[in-house]
Amino acid sequence: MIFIRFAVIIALLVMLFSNGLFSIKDLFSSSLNNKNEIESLKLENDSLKTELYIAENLSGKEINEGKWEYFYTKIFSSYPFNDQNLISISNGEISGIKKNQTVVAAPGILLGQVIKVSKNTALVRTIFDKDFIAAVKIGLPGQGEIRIDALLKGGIPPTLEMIEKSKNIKNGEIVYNADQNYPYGFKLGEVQMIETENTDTAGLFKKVFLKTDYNLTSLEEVLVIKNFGALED
Amino acid sequence: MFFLDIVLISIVSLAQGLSLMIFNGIKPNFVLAILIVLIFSEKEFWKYSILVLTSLICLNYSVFISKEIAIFGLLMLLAFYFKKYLSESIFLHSFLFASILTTLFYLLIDFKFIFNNFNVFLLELFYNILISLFFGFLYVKK
Repeated sequence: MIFIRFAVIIALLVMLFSNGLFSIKDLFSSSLNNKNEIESLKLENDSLKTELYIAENLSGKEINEGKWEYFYTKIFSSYPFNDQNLISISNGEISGIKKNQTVVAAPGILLGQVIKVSKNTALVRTIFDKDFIAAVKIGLPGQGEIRIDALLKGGIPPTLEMIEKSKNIKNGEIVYNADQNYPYGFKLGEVQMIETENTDTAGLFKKVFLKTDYNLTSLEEVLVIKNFGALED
Repeated sequence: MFFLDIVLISIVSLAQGLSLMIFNGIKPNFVLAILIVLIFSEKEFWKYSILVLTSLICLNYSVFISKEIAIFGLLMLLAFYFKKYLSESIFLHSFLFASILTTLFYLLIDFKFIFNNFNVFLLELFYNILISLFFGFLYVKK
């Protein structure tokens, strides 16, 4: 039994190290980092695309990237069970974090909202949490004003519901925020799969999944928007 | 041996708290599964309660006192008292405890979760049973 326990402990330690918890990955070859690098590049690319999209489609109105005051913070733990999907960040009241502030995975990529704040930490409800709900729009940049309304419901993966059955949507179409609780135009992800057969109530609506270009478990830091005032509960 | 159990439960709880072990979008409750097997391994309640306490400290995901973590700890401690009513078969014991404790846990923290996300609940239940049976198997192989 001692041997088995040692083996289990060593296996778990290897797993923790390989996930970069203690920065051991820096000691090894770059191949170990490839997955995280790809995700990071995808996220950066996504962020730039969103900024470009906002600039092309919404600029000259009110929104531009420079408008938002981002605050970088580290993720230090996450909710360990399946009924919620929360993350804990390493800054709180002292750093100016307040309840209802928007949290993004990268500039322009909506991740969630601060729900509880202590002096040095804060709790964030992510878009993967079952209680996360936001009004969104689906559409590719450059398609004029034709946008499809939907309701994003958190989960793994998040789903887009209440989409009119008559509307045509394709995989890869951008899903962006239209909810007053978060900055308008921020990207949430892309349409991943269309359930043509499964429809919601009375077959009037479609339901599709949301695909994000990042993995929540591999995110090490997030950004809090300090100068966006969301509505109070 | 007790020291090794503390190290084991700390690492597992840490990994659980960082959500490092996710299968098909589901986080199996490794801590619950291992604590179930350790009920058999530890004869004395105070030793077992130290293991539970260690897991709670490592699992706690925020500075706030979490209702979920408190309920989890309470259930695991209560489980220790019920082991005398179960058979000596560690497999049956693991299977029953994993099923009952997983269900009770979600019923107490958010019963709607079971009904609204039944597939998620079932998958977690399946994983928890599987993991506790696996660790139970390792335990009898001593």
